[in-house]
Formats: sequence, structure tokens, C-alpha cells
Amino acid sequence: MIAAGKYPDERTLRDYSALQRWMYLHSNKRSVMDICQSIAQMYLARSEDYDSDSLCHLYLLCAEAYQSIGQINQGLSYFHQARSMVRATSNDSQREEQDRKKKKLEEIGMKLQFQSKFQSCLIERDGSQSDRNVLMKSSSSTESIEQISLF
Amino acid sequence: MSYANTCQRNALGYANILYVALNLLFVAHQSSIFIERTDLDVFQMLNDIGAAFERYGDQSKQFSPIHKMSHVWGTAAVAYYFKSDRYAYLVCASMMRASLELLGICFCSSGIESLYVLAERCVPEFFRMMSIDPGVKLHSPECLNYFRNVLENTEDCIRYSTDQVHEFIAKLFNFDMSEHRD
Repeated sequence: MIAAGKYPDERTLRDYSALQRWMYLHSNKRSVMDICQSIAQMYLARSEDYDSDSLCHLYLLCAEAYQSIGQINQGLSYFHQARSMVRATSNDSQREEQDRKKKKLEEIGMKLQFQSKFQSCLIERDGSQSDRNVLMKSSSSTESIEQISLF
Repeated sequence: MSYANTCQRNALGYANILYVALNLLFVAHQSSIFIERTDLDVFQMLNDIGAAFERYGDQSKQFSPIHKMSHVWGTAAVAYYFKSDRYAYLVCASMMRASLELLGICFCSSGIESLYVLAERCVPEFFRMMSIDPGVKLHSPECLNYFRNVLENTEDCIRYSTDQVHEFIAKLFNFDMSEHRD
């Protein structure tokens, strides 16, 4: 049975992999949007009470979560929040952690970009363009085939 | 598909790429795929993808088990649609729709771009059903409620397989599929 906690605890917030595992479990039972809204209510709306590491993790988590269900507008907003936080922190003693966050940010940015290109191609597509072209146009090479299938 | 073969077989990535390739093949051939591509066993591929998604699913934490498996159910629905197997189509489409509703997933979302294009272009009935806001609980097909219950009582996910489809058909439509070949 999934642990009863409706929210990730403070220790989980500070460990991004643990947070991801928490989300993985809970998003199999509850809608992602529901979970993210609870998280936003509890933590993001009370940001003065939490440390910047935890908050950054939550923004990254929610950005990725919204992106996965096709709500890229909201995903983009959280992506921007996370990006500002990562840029604002320049603490050398936590280099590894910073690098991990930057990498995650880049990954989410790529996925958001791909999805928005895909959507814009679909909208501008006319009858003469084949559907394979729609998918290929929103990507540029075989790496993009990976992107299409990338989680 | 040759690109897929360059990947590690026991990785989720391999199954993902195969999944996309299958959708693109359907876009290209539609219902003629069964005549034009006799070298492919489409339903076996779907079985393999379903098994891989279940076995290697947690290599990616972004999509929960039910979410991931819903993608396979969706492509399977299209496959059965092209095969003119109405009951199997209803089972698979309902399983995907119930998953989208349960987890609030939009049809135009990550990982199913290829299925989205396939549905929009080739299977309007399926596209109509999936593209309605996931916050809306559809009334038809009638078997949808059955799948809502099934999913709510699942800890992990319901793996797609042809056997599973036959089981659901037997339960829902009192139809014994055991003499039927795919």
C-alpha cells in the first residue's frame, strides 16, 4: 500500500531522487494536477517557510509533471521559476547539486520545447504535408526520435 | 526500427522507440498494414512492448505505471480498429480512456505524439473519445465504468496483452475468444 502521506515530508523534499520516487508512486493513484496543486498549496504558496533547495526541487518536479500530462503552459511557468532559482544560487560548495539541477532543467526545457514545436506543427499543417513530416519537422535528427520516445 | 535495434534491448528506451515506430507504421499503412507488412506481427510487438513497459517501467520515474501502459492500450485500440475487431477495440480504447480520466492526462501529451497524429488522421472515433478533456467522465462506451473500477483497484498497472484483451472480452461480452486467432 502506498504510504498515507498526502505530501512529501521535508526530508524527501531535499532529495530529488526521493521526491521523484514519491511522485512516481502517488501519480499512479491520484491525478498529477491534483498532486501538484496540493504541493503548490502547501509549499510553493508559503515559500518563506522552506529552504531554497526544497523549493527548487518542487518547481522542477511540478514542471516535469505538468509537461508529462500535456499541460505545457503550467509546466513552462514552473520551469521558469526553477530556472531563476538555479541561476540565483552560485554556491561553489554545492557544485554537484547545482550541476544536477542544471542538467534536470535542461532536460525539462528540451521536452517542453519539443512539445511546443510539435503542437505548432500540428496547427500549421495543411493537407499536403504528410503526417510523418509533422513529427519529423518538430525534430531534426535521429536524436529527436529518441526525444519523441524519451520520458 | 533499425534505429531501435542499436539500443540496449533490456532498456525502456528500446521499447519506447519500437512503440513510436509502430505508430508511424500505422500512419503509413493504416488498415493495409496486415497485407502490406506481413513481415511484422503487430500484435506480438504490442505484447512485447507491454511486457517491457511493465518490466522496465521504473527506469523512468516521470510516468507512473498506469500512465505508461495507457499508451500501449491506445495503440492496441487502433490496431484492433484496423483489424475490424470491434470488441477488442472497445476494450483497449476504454482502458486508455479510463486511465486518462483517472490521472488527468491530456491526449496531446508527452510520449504519445505519434499516437495523437495517428488517431487524428486515421481513426476519428478514437480521437474524439480521447481528446475530450480528461476531467470529463464519459458515459459511453458502457464498459468504461468496468475499467474505471479495474484501475482503481490496481496497485501497479494492467499490462496490455492479447490474452488480457480476450479475458476482458469474455467477461464483458460473454464471448469466448479461445477459438479465435488474432
